[in-house]
Amino acid sequence: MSEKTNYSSYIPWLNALFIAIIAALALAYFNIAFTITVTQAIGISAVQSINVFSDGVAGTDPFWYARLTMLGSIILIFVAGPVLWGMGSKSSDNVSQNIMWYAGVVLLLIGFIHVSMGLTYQAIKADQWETAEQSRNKDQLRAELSTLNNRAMELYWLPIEQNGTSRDLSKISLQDLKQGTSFQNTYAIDKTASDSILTIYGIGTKEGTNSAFKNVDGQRGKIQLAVRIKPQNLDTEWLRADSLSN
Amino acid sequence: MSAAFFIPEGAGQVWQSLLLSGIAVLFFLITYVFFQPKNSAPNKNIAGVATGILLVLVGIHGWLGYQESIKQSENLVEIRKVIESGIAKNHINEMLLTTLRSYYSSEKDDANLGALFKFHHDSLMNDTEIKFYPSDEERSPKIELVKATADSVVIVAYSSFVSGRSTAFKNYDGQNGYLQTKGILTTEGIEYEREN
Repeated sequence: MSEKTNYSSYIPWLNALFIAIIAALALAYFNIAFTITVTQAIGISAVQSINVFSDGVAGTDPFWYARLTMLGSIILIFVAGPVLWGMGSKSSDNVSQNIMWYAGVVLLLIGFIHVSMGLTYQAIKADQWETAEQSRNKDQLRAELSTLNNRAMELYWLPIEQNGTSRDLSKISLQDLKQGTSFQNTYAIDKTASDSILTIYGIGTKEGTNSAFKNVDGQRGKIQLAVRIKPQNLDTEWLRADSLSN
Repeated sequence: MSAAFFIPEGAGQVWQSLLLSGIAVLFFLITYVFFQPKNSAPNKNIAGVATGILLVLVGIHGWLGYQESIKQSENLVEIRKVIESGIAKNHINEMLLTTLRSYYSSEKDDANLGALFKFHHDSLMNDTEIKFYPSDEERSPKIELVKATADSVVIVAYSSFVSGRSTAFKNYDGQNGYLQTKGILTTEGIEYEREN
């Protein structure tokens, strides 16, 4: 008999949890901005960051609607929730709770569900910053390869008396190209394709997507980009990413 | 709590609003749990503790979200800087290399760097501004010809809104503190300098 009573005491909690899950799913399905204050704040910050990216300023939009819904959510969950739960009294049979208790518990449970989802999403997304680091390394490689490319063109056209090569590609060395500039990544040049083509390979510091990829300098799995230069025509060709990069 | 969301208006300081409202909620919970009569709220302790735990979790979520936003913002600014530097550098080098090639390909003894530069880029020039964008839309960075003489060509590229290294730096167009790069072509080659 007492065993039956113990189980029945969980029923209101299970009911409240069930209602909270349904409510949280419904709010998410209808995209109703409720309880997701942090997510909304991240969204507003993203809009402001994009404004800075494109126009240089964050903009003057005060986001009144978003602020209002955030305030409403906080009042409902952190004020109305505990007050209703606190005031809701347990009925004598411990099976059915009064409406205030349910309202308070459901509001707080919705809050717990949303924050759990938010934290889980953040944990999963942490991996994306690694992708951002790879992307940044690729950008750096492109910029440095571009510098080497321009230097190669310049050396090709400058006469020997001006420390150039007088249009002789075979005289260009990696040391000449790198002279006077510090580079963050590793580079290699290849002049075997033809006597008018120079290929410069850039090997990054970050791992690429394919760990088995063999880099031109013997390393494995590092990001790699390449540029093929025809200085005669001031022609630069970035080699296809899917065939050469990692 | 309402004030937390509506006083710091204008600049969209939403994280500040969230922090202030979190502090307001904490004060409310302390007041609720310790100063509310037990008979008016029989479950206030358990409700207060559960709300406190939720507040801590939301605080962690908010802190991580704030860090993420800062990182995202910094990354976008950095990306914009890389893009503008890249555009400036590539266009400056392309223009100066074209001129350098013409100079050393020329069979004339009196080849003139400034004249060759203007010959190649005349169609892009509007007074000293070199309009290298395909449309008239206002874009950044801008490139201008500073000097074109027989033995040297100087061009600068400056951003309209990407900050440079020093806020005190005076840009070519009279603004202060923005990214600016300079390319100098002489018969000895091309010098590229990040001025700010």
